[in-house]
Amino acid sequence: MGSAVIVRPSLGVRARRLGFAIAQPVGSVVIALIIGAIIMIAFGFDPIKGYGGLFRYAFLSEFNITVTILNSVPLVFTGLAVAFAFRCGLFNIGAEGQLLVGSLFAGWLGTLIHLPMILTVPILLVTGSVMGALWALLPGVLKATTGAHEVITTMMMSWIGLYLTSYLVKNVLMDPRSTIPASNRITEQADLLTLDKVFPFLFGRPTRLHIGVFIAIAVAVFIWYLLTRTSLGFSVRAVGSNPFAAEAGGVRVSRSIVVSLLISGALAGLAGTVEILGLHHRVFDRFSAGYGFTGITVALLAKNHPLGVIPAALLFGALTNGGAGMQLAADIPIDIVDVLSGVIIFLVAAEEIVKGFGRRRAKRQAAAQALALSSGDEGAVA
Amino acid sequence: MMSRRTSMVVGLIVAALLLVGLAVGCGDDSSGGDGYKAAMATDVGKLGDKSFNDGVWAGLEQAQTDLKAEVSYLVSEQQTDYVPNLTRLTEDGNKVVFAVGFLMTDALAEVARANPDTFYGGVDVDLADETFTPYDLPNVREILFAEQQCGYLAGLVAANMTLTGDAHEFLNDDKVVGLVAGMKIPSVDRYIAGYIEAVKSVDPDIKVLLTYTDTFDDPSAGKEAAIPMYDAGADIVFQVAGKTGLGVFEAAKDKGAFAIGVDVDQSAELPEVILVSATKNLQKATMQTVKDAMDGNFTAGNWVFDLKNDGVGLSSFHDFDSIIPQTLKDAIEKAKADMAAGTLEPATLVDDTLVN
Repeated sequence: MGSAVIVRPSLGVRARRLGFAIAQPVGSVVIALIIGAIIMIAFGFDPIKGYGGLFRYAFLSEFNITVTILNSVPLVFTGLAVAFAFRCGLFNIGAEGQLLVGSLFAGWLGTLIHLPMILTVPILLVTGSVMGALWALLPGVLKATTGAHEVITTMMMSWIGLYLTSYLVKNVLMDPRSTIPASNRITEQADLLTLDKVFPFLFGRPTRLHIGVFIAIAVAVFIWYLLTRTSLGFSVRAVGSNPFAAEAGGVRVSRSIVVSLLISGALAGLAGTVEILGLHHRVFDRFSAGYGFTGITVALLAKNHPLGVIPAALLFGALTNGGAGMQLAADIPIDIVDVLSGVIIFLVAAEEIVKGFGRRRAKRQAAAQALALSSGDEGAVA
Repeated sequence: MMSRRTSMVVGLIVAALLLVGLAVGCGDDSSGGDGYKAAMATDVGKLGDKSFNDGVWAGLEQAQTDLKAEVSYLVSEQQTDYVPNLTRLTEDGNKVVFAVGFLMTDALAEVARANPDTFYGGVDVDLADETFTPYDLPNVREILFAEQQCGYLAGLVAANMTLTGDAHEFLNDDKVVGLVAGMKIPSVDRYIAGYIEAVKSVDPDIKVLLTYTDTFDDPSAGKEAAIPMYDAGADIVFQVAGKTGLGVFEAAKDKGAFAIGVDVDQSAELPEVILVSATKNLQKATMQTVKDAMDGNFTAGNWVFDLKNDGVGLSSFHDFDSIIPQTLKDAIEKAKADMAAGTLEPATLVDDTLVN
């Protein structure tokens, strides 16, 4: 350890690694779909009709793609939040609370200020990230100083955040004259521009897609850059792979832990803020449909790769959206869709199952090679 | 270089993709029928809430039987589903689309503006702009109920029964009744205001315990709220909390006490503890709206369903009919007549000073 020479694996090896890294989650999804089909048949539904509906309503037609993309935007952010902490060896399961706290304060501020759009939007996005980060600060400090496990502390903070925001929405932000349990409308200067306004030549009619889509992609690229091309990212990854070795190598472990939880919390806060400024334009009580928790699955499926988070988020965005298709096209209850995503989560989480296939294959190949060697054929050098 | 297993897997995936493609290609919409189509999008409470969403669905099913309408529904899993689901039902060729619940207010306004040729029914939806000034849309009927009226009837039952401590083993001598509410929103507060007014009109000394659980879909929160009320001597607790209220029934069963159901006749849930239910005739309101649209009589704006048009009421007492004194039954009939005539107008806002 501590050697200055970094040996990059050959291109072939890296390509094969990438191939396997992609094949495994894809395999999980395919197996989940097959199991889903069996479940549908068992309950007397037509899986071909069901999946047809799912596919059609998730991807075919401009409207359906729009909804799929919009569904996946918050998941990109929460997926990144969880993945970033994971890379430092931390399991931030409290992204939901960070999301709610971040977006509540951003939205609240949005109902109070009157500034031009060019200032309003950045101010609110920063507010959301900062408040989300602050909500992750305490678990980070506790972990760094006392070793308190972040799974417990982030979760507890998440519950506190959930009830705190819920209380604030209903007792402080909600106008007594309002008929819906939500804040007043956030200033229109804070609305994220819809894409038909940004690219009028691309969209013939109004769309609900907003620039949050690009913010999500840009942030994913930024996080990828941060992790792989900066010294901060190197420290984070070093701590993630072996904190003792990192310490010995001169990395300040406690600092990396706090910083990565702060960044993770900021990403979660951004998730909710973009959702509120782009779609709801109000702070609703508990508006998040568990984005923070789905983010864990997204990160797992993406193998914690910042760019892998994008397709993983799209998959879950498509699943929730296609659920409507399954209901309409094949009268399949929404619960079956939930079962399906449950199966995917299970298979991703229990990736050893899928890995097991790979290992058996490797064993058999090794046996075949040994056989080839002993029988005097050309030697295979691994 | 491809091993046999790899090529097999690739083959399988290709086959699966082809199958999906085929299914999509052949996936014919079965919308060829000439039936008049009507549909509903649930709020996140979903079907099976035994009250709100189920009530509207019952109305659509009646429209299917009586009016030969083709009906369907879409369940919303998250708030971002509202606009897509209402849009899909519109594009699916439905002539009338119901948005169930005040949470869908913004979504309904957005979709209705974009689709002026489709009729919409917003259940518990009361359109208002940013300054809280009400407005209407020409293709939206805002279906509202006079909850204070049926809440008043429930209050009459609770107050009179808690005073007759010996009519049933569940009743005690304490002058206490309870109320477990969901969120503090106008329709819930109308129920509460009517209930409290009736209780105090029977005997101002009866205590009313009130808890807002702040949720409509968490039965355990309902149970948690109800247990201390029963422990404090309440023998009857009225629940105005949607799915959360199912927990109140559980608590009643555990404690050996009564509960009063809400929105629809909930007796079937737990017949041994549900004394009666304060009902909103969601079924009728839904059915009526479909019929009006079919006959070309659709009118927009606020439509209040109350005692005059059989829009709200009280369910039957089922097995408990025998323990209800005739004087109470007479009082209920008189209150109904007075409210229908407009001579009795229960409050619609909760007076906090009356809550203990």
